Formats: sequence, C-alpha cells, structure tokens
Amino acid sequence: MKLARYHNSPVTNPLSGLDALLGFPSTGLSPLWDIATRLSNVPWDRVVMGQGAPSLFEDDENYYARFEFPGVKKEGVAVELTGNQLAITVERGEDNVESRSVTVPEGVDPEKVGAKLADGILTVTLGKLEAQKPRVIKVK
Amino acid sequence: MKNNTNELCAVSDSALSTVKPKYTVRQHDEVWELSIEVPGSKKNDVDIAYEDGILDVRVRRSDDIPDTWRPINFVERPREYRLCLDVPESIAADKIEAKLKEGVLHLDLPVSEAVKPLAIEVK
Repeated sequence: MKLARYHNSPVTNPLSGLDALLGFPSTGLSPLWDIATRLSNVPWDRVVMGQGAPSLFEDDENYYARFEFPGVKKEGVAVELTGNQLAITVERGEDNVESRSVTVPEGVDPEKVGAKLADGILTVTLGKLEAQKPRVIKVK
Repeated sequence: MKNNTNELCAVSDSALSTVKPKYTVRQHDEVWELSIEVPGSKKNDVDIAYEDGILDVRVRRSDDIPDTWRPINFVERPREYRLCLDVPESIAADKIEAKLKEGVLHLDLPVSEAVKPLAIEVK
C-alpha cells in the first residue's frame, strides 16, 4: 500500500465563504458544512468517483474514513492526501483501476495518516491537529 | 444459474439489514466460478447450504465499529448478505468448494463427470 502526502494544495470547504460571512471560524468541520450535510442527508463526500461513499467517524484523536473494496489486495491500493482531499486509487488488475476522492474535514495532521485493509474494507485514519482535539479546562 | 425467487430465500428490499450481494458467475467446461462480494465478513461468518437444487449462501458481517467512534456521516451497511441461486443439475453439488479472500467469497461448482464434454478419439 502506497501512502503519499502533499501539503501544498489546500482544498477549501465549499461553504467556507459563507461561514466566514457568518463569523464562524474557518478551521475544522465548519458548522454550516456540518449542518448542511446532516440535514440534507447528502453524503459527506462531495466528489465521489465510482461507487460507494465512505462512512466517516471521529473520536477525540482521529477521523476515520471507511471504504468498501472487496477483492482488492493491499498492494493494489494507493492513498493520497492533498490538502484535505483524500484520493484512493485501487487496482484490481491491468485494466481495472478505480478512483475515489473525498473531502475530509479540515484540521488533519498530514503526518498522522494511516491506512489498513482487512476483509475488503479500507480504513483510513486521519490524525487530528492538536488544535482540533477537545481540551479539558480545569476550574481553579 | 438463475436467481431463486423462492419465498424462503426472498430478501426484502426495505430492510437494509439483509441484502443481496453483488455476484458474478463464470462458466467453464469443467467448473463454474461464482464470486460474491461480501466486504466486512470473515470465514466464520459464512453459511452455505444446498438443498433441492437451491444454493443458499448467507454471510454475516462482523466488521463492528468501535464504540468510541462517533459517526459524522454514516453510510448504512448491511448486517447480512444472502444469495439464493438455482443450480442446474449438471453441477456436482457435493463437490462445491468455497474460499473467502479479501471480502470476496469464491465458490467453485464443478460440472458432474456425466455431463462433461467428451473428447472422442478417432481411431
């Protein structure tokens, strides 16, 4: 499995302009973006080539994107993160190449991206930048 | 090989918990190769039954999501795959072999000796 990272071409949240107008911070999963995707039931990924939108999860440390790729060996999978655009290229054979591309939330640490393939399911783990992690504030 | 529409095998479309998986059949002279896409399943999740010419394949999905993961966008997954196929009599049902690899269940359905094409030598 190849894992490539690029830092030089940030892809912006399509709603970031609106967010800025409304005074929302421009980092992270913006409130509008979040609300829009939840309300409309529009898949979180805006650009999906091929079939099968991934599921996206988070915990305090990471985001997790899960894709279904039955019949694919790990040698045939390439994962690339460019800005907050995650591109997965899957090769099943000579003439069978499939690409999926999704926008991931902002605030991912490009140094902390990992991928695992098991039973036809690819899980990409995207570590959150320190600023994205919840902070516990002690009351003095 | 046809889809079996037997009531027992019916998969309701409304219930996402059980779905009919994607599959392909390749017919060769000696063997038919059936490939069924069952991502998220392991060997122990597979039940294959053959009765009265019907091949009934049920595969549970065991890729559980950790409790600590909060969904941002959750694409509903089936809990079980089920595929019922009418198998022609020419298949030697007792010699069907199955293996699960990378989320694909491969079944080899050998053609009975009796119906294999015979090469007749000219004397």
